[in-house]
Amino acid sequence: MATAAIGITGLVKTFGKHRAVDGLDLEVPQGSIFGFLGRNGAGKTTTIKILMNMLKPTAGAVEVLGQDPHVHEKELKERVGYISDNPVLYDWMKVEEVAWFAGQLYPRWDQQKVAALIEHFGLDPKQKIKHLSRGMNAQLNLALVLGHDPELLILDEPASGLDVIVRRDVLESIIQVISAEGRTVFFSSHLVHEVERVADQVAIIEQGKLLVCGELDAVRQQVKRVLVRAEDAVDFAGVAGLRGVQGEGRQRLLTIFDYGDEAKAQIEQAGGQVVEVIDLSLEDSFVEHVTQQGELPS
Amino acid sequence: MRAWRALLWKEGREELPKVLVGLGLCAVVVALRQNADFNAEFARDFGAWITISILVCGGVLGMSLVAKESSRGTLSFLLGKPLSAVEVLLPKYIVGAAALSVLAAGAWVTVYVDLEGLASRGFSIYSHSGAWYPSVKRVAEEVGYVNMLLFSLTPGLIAYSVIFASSTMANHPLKGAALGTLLLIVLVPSADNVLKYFPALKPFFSFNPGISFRGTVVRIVEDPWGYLVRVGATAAVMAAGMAVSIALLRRFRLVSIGWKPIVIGWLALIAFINLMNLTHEPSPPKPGPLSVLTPEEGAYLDLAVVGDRGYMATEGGLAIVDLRDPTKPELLAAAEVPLWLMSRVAVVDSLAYLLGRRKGLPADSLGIAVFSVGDPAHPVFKGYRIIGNDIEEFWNWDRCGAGLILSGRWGDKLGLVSFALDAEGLPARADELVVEELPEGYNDSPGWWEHKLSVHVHNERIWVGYRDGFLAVDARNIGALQETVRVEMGDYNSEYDLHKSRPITREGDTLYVHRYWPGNLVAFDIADPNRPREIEYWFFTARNTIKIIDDWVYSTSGNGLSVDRLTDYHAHEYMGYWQVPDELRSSSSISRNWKRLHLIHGHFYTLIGRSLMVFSPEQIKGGRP
Repeated sequence: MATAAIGITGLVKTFGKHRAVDGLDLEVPQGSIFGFLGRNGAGKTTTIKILMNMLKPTAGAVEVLGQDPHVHEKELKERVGYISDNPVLYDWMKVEEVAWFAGQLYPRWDQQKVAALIEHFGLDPKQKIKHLSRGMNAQLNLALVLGHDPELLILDEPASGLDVIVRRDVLESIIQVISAEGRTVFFSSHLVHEVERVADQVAIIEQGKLLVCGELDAVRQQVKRVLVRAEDAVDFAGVAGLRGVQGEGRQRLLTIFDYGDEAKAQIEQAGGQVVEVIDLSLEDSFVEHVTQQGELPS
Repeated sequence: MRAWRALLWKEGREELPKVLVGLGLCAVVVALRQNADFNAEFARDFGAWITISILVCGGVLGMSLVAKESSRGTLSFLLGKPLSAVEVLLPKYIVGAAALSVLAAGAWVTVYVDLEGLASRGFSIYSHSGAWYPSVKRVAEEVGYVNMLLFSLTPGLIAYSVIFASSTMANHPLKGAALGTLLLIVLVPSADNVLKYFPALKPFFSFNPGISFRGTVVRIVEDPWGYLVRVGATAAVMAAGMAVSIALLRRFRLVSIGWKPIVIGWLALIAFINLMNLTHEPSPPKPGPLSVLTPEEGAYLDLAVVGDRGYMATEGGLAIVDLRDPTKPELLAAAEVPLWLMSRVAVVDSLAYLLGRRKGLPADSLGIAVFSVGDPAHPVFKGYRIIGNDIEEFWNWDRCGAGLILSGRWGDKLGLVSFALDAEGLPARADELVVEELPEGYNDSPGWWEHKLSVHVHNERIWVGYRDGFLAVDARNIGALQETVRVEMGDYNSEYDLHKSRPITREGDTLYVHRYWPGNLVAFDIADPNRPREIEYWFFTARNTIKIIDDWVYSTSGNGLSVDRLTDYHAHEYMGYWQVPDELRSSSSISRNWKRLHLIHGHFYTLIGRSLMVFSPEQIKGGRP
């Protein structure tokens, strides 16, 4: 855990009887762009708020940049940039005022850099926050979160609520402006596309539990769809990693976790013939992972 | 330091609109005071309105400072920064308290900007209780702007602190207000209960830096330590509120309390209050007088007691009553003095002296009719003496040694007139002593007739309560009254104020004197009558006629008799009240306040309405005296 930007061990957070986070273990490597995927209510924001010491964990331990955020809160927040899931700024302030105000709260602050980013995003420094669009607001938050040159960025649903165009702009900004500097980015989302565009590492949680964690490609390829030709009576129930069978008759579409030679042999042994192995997108893979835990809405 | 500066700037900018709106309202009030009707209403109730307004402002500021950040989502912005809980909260708290102080300062400016506009207003409406109330202008002048400000700001700051602390756990200002108000309702009576069990703490619960427990204004130059203690007590409550806020933010961070526990709390409180009301036994009916003696016509106007006999002035003359049976005072005799209107009576040995005015022209004259009452069943008129018409008002008429003493007003002088008795027992004016002189133009003010002296005579020494304090008069030589000591009470009184006499009474070597404002009964040790020494005081609005027996205070009040017990720590406990039936009440109780109160064989005798009434202490809890 010493080299991890974030380390989470056995994290539990309950609200009354509800377990928002249920024994979560997670490690975010330094220098990675880490997508934290999960449905709404899966426990992403709760986890992030615990990382930021905004909530107390019920059990378990977290470390951020090697330190306990509860004990070293102030020092850590000087090294961490955070954008909440609802990044509201003081709407009566002007853009330049909020940039000045945020800068005063840090011991180190690069006002020129923030001003350059504000200009880069095409924001008017004299404009009041309440007159900014949601996209401009998100961009301003990105500019502000970089003023103290954080080692780690924790972004909670950074593009949530934005339309497609603005979301793309914001994500581009994350890629261009943030990740280009080689810092660790940990961001949560329920929008799989945006994670896929940006992240090199992903974790998927559901009902507060970690389902899968690893490099993007590995997670994406963990689930395969296999088109099989077989007689009507053939049963593939014994195939290792089988999660579902679609279709009837001579052509079946099997969904298999960790598909490999062993699974292929088992299919053939059962009387089937592999026609095609189809790679899944991260979204499909996400759906398959999540549906193993509970019913997805149709 | 940069962070503090920025946070103070931010909080200041956020609270500035509220402060400006408040100050704008103050400006509107100042303008409206130019209207006579509005000004009259303002002068009557400004103290209450300002205090309530400051309380409300304290609540509004306290409920929004933290909860607003939570409700609009900016609390996450702050908590995401390298700021401690102290840095997040303290600038808010400071700015909120400063805003409240500015609003309070502005509110009091509306009063002090035009003190003359308050001049017409006095609290004389309350004078039926016999209490003295100064004019609001006088109070405002004497207390001063700063003390008035602190006086009203203190509860506002305490409410602000409690609601601020509550709002730390709320994600909406209304939740903060609901929770804070609930806590205030629960905590304030709880503090009272704490004091019941730990009365020694009482002096420390005086959060009011403007007024001391002695009931006088604490000015920092006069009592810097006392002032600091009171400022410190208020600061301690505020610091406690701040500490609770910090602890809550550290512990709960973004977690906020839901409406459910708040609603449950309120419902529990309402249920508790209703339950208390349901289970609270109704107060037993107030006992009435044990017995009543009412004349067929007119009224009994004054009562002197010698032994078992009561001597009463009637409008037409004298009535003598046997007081041996308190359940049935028996009228022994009544004697008329034609063409005279009598109103006071005093008895020296076997002679009764009735003071009154002779009817007829050219002007009413003050005179003394003398009756021999050696045989109480057959009083004999011995004659009368005219004592002139210079005494325009008179109040107390008492025996003093071998002579008589009258308190009254002649011209602009208030004082004592003594009467020596000749061999026949007939009185002659012997000496007079001016207690105080009224200011020029005193009779321009309606109601000046109310201004009078109160007198307690004991062992040829006369104790006189007057406007500024009390004095002692040596009357051993009735022809040469000699003032021996004069004590100024240092309370508030004004030549412009309409007020009653200063109640004064004695028990043993203790003299009890009323301090007008804000209402103390002060005990003086008079073992050495030339050097009265203040030894104790209680918060107690004394009526004109009081009698004190072993720390029990019996006082005529309205149309009845109040019983209170003086307790430790400057407090008094209400013990009961004898209620006079409606049909026996006076239509004008105010003018009856001078009437005497006598204790005879364990029963109280006084005059109320038209009647002589006897009250039994056994009817009141405690069974005193």
